[in-house]
Amino acid sequence: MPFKYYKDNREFIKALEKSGDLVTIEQEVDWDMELGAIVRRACEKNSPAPYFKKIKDYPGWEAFGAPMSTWRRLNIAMGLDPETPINELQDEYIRRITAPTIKPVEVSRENAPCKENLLTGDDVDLFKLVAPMVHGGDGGRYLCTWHMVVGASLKAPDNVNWGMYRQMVFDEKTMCGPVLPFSDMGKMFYEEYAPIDKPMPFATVIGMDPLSGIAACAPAPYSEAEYTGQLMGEPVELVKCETNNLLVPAHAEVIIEGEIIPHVGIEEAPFGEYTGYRTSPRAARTVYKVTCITYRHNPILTVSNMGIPTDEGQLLRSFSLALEMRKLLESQQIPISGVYMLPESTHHLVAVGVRNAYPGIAHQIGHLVFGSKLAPWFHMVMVVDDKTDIYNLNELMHDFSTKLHPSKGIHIYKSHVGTPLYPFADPADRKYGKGDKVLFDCLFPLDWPLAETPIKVGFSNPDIYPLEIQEKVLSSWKEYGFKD
Amino acid sequence: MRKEWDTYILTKLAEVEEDVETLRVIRDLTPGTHKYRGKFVKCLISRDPDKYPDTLRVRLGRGQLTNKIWSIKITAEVEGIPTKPYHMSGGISLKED
Ligand SMILES: Cc1cc2nc3c(=O)[nH]c(=O)nc-3n(C[C@H](O)[C@H](O)[C@H](O)COP(=O)(O)O)c2cc1C
Repeated sequence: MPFKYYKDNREFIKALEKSGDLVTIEQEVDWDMELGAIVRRACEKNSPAPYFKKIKDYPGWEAFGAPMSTWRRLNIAMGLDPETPINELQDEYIRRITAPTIKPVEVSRENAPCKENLLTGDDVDLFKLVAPMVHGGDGGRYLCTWHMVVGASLKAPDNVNWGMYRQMVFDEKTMCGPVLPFSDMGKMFYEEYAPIDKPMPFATVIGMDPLSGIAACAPAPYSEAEYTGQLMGEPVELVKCETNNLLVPAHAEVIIEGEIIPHVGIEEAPFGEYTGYRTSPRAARTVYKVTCITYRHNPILTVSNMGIPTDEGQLLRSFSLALEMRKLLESQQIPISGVYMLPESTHHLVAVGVRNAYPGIAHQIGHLVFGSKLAPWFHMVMVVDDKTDIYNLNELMHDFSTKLHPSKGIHIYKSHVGTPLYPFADPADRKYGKGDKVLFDCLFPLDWPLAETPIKVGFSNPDIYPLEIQEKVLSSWKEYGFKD
Repeated sequence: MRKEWDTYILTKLAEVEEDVETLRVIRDLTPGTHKYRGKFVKCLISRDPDKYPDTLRVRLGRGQLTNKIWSIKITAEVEGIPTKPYHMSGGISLKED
C-alpha cells in the first residue's frame, strides 16, 4: 500500500500552498543574490518556502527555495499532519525504512516529464539554466544545491548511489564541486575510476520529488532508489539517461548528464556551508563535464541556501543521521529512549537518552557512534538519562549545565575523522579533514550512594509529586484559571 | 570597452607578482546570463588600475571582496583544464616554461 506522497515537486508545491507553507512571489527577482537573500531570510525566520515565478534574464524558469527547512514541510513531504511531533515523525520514518526494500521501476521516455526538452552537442550551455549566485562572495553560481548526483560503481554496476554533492557552474559545459573521500560517490570515483584513469558517468538530478531528495541526503546503507521506494510504499519511477546507462527520477525538473574527469581539478568555493560559515577554502575540486541536459517545460529549480540555522541540509541531515544512530544503538541492545540531533547545532551535536543501566554506558554510546560511518559529520555526543525529554532544548540545557561534571564528565577522542568544513578546526586539521570528538556524559555515576544522588525537581517526577497529585492538577488546570 | 574580471587570492596580497605571466582562473563580471563564468587564462596583472586594458577585482580566500582595483591583460585563453598544477592563489610563474 503506497503512503500518501508527492510524485513530483509540483504536487509538493501545491500541497505547501494549501497548508500555508509557501509564498508565491510573482514580482521579478534577480538570480544574482536577491533570490538567495530571500531564501536565506526565510530560513532564518522559519518563514514559508518562497516560490519564484519570474526570474531576471530567465523567462520560463521558476525556482523553489528552502523546500524542506522546517519540520512542518518535512511532515508534509512524508504525507503526515504538518504538526506531527518529531518523535512520531521519527517512528513513522523508521517503520518505513525497516520494512522490506522496494525496487524502482523503469518507465519509458514518453512517461518521463524530465525528457520534455533536450539539449545536446553545441546546444549544451549551463548558462541557459538559472543558476543563482546564492550568497555574495560565493566562488561561482551554484546550480545544484538541492539535487542529487547519480553514479554507479565500476566493479558492481548494480551498486548505484544517489548523493547530494554541491555543484558550481564553471563554464558552459563544466561544473565542479567537492566530493569528500568518505562519501559513497567519493569511494566509487577515487577508488575505482580514478586509479585506472577512467571518467565516471554521472547524472545530476534537480527538482526531484521530495522523498527522493530525502533519500539522497540520508546516509542510506543501501540503494537510495530502494530507500525512496520504502518511503513511498511503492516503487519510484525512473527513466534511462540519454548518454549513459544511469537511471534518474522520471518526474524531476532537470537532468544534467556527463562524466566526472579523473586527475584534474578546478577551483571551487568558497561557499556558504551547512555549518553557517564559509569555511572550506577555494581549492581544486572534482570536475564534471556535461554532455546533455534534459528538462521539463517551465522548469522549476530547487534552491537550498545554507547558512545559519535552519536550512534543509541542517534539518534533514540531523534527522536522518540521528535515525541511523538510533538503528545502530538499538542493534547493539543499548537501552536508549531516543536519539535527537539538534538542527540548530548544524548537525554537530546529538543527544542520546538512555536508561542508566550500567557504568560506562555513555562511553559505549560514544564509541559506537564515533566509530560509525556517520562520524565525520558530527563531533559532540551528549548522553542524558531516559527521563529527560531530548526534544526539549530547555531540558537538554538544564542537564548540560547541572549534570555534566566539568572534568570527569567530558571525554575527548583525539585524531578522529572530520571534514574540511569544521569552522572551529585549525587550518592544518581542516586541510586534512581531521577532527577531535567530545562526549558529554550527563548521567549521574551509578556508584554514588542513592542517598547522595540529587533528585530532579520537576512537576512530572513522581518522587516530587505523587501521580495522583499530578493527575489532579492536570485535570483541574483549566478550572484553576490557566488558559494554556 | 574595459571589461571587468575578478579573481580569488589565497596567499598574502603582498606576495602577488606583478607584470609576470601567470596562469589563473578569473571570472567574467559582465552583467547578463554569463556573469561569473570562469576562465583559465594566462595573464599579466598590475596593482596599477590603469596599466592593463581590463579591470581586476580582488577577493580573498573566503570570498571577502577587497577594496583593491587592479588591472589585467589576458595574454592567452587556455582551452580545457590545464593538467599541471596551476596557481590557486596568486598565479604560478610561467617564466621557467
Ligand atoms: C544541501 C547539501 C549539500 C551537500 N553537499 C555535499 C558536498 O558538496 N560534498 C559532499 O561530499 N557531501 C555533501 N553533502 C552531504 C551528502 O549529501 C551526504 O553525505 C549524503 O549522505 C550523501 O550520501 P552518501 O553517504 O551516499 O555519500 C551535502 C548535503 C546536503 C544536504
